[in-house]
Amino acid sequence: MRLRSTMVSVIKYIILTIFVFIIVIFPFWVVIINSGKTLVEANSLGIGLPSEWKFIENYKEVIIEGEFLVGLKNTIIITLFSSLIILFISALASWVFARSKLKFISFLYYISISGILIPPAIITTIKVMKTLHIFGTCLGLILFYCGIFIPLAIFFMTGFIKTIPIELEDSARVDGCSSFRIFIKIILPLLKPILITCSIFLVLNIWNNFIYPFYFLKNVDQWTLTLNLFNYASKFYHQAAWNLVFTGVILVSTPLLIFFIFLQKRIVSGLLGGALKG
Amino acid sequence: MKSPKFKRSKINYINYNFLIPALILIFVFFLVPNILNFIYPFTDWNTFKTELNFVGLRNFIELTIEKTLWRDLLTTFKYAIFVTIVSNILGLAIALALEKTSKINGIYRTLFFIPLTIAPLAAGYLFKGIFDTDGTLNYILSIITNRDINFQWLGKINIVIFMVGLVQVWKWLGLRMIIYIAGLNAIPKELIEAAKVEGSNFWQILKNIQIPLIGPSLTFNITMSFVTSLFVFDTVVSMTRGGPARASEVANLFILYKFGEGRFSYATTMSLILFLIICVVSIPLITFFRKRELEL
Repeated sequence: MRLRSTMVSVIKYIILTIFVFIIVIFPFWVVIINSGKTLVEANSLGIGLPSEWKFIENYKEVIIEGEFLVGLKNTIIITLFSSLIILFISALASWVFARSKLKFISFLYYISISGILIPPAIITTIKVMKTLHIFGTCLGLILFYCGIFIPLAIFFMTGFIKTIPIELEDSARVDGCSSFRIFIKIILPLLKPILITCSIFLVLNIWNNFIYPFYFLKNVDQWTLTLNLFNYASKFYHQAAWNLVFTGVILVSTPLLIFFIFLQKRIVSGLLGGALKG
Repeated sequence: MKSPKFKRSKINYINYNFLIPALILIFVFFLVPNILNFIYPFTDWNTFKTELNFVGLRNFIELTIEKTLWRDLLTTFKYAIFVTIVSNILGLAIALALEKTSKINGIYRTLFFIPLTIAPLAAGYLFKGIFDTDGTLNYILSIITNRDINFQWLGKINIVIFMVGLVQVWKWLGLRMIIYIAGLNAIPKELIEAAKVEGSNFWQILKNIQIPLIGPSLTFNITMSFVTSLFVFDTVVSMTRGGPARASEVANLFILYKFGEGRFSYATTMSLILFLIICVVSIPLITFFRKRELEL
């Protein structure tokens, strides 16, 4: 019996390893190795090592030609500000949603979280942004991200606050603290686990987003990394240059990969915890 | 249990002003555009003229005659159904294999997680390279079979949409897995042990205990994978741009092309239809799974 279960377990891990190899290691190998080849060699898209190492030349060319440094700066600004605003504003609202027993407030709650499934209407959003004179600006994009991601953040945080005993707040209330002080001193620190889960979700989604910057940003100096990649790769749509396109792919992905490697334990357990609660 | 006085103090300190920033942002950037999207499909809004007229159902009729709207919707549905089925079966299978928390399982979980950090647009370019006619897949198949393989993975109108779908499956597999693991771990261990003692095999435990008890994970995963697939854009843009012969033109590309042509009312018509489809699809999906949860 024991021997059989060991056998099953060994076979399981062999299959898993093959699977991991095919779907994770192999694609990354292809993209990394070909980003260091010459144009001619990369276009055969082989899996061997480059005969002539061109990593530095390729990366230099793509960073300069594709304006990736500007994109990196914009992506960091947009991701950081959107995430911070979303987390703070959602936490404030979720506290009210979790504690209020009023019918009207719970009606507002359901309206607010409807944005989790219902997608934004892009074309009419452009109309709204033009009316507000924020179309084509990073500010417009940041505010838009707030509008579409606050619903999910509120959903997660409201569920979480409901599990926090209300007595903690009552004692502070008796001591004469204002609502805002109670929020900052008591609620926000208790929200830490769910704030981590939400910020992982937000960073992954906003950093990697393409469709919204594509519609809502205009000038090169506002572009995000995904827009840089799209515009750069589009030059080679009919005339392949896989070494350069793959270099672009790596430049867009590396910052998040580093973020992931450093925080991987937190991310996996954070999402696991968040999924359990949600 | 509580005196009325105590109860009042509880309600008093809720500061309803705290809702205002969230409500304003949701209102302006989510609700208003969606409300406007109920109006513009019935107008002739376009880039060629300044005044706006109501035209009733003309857009819907014109787009039906033009056939592109329904063809693109059908493509989108094929894509979404394929992605939902494949990613959930694979995600659940991997979750079952890595359900137990151990060091080695942690490493595998992390590895399956890596694609989540890759931008869908970048993933599209990556797999375009692999599935290209001169790409890595054909290169390897040629070596294995010792013949010159030139299969057009992205050039066949019957399969192109599923090849694009595989990239979305790849990208989100880690999330499906982690949500199923969370669901599986929440099942009381005694239930599984008892079933094992009674001699139930793997499939019986899966069918009779695990699947019924991971209701919330199933609801979330199936609904989310289906709904997000309806809005696929990035991977299609980087892999096929809707080709060949518009066989991978999904709803969001239709919106983009009509927007690019300046026919804004056509674009909003597709948006409205998608909105209605989401309501029609997701509400029954959620209630169906919620009901099953309650029955148990």
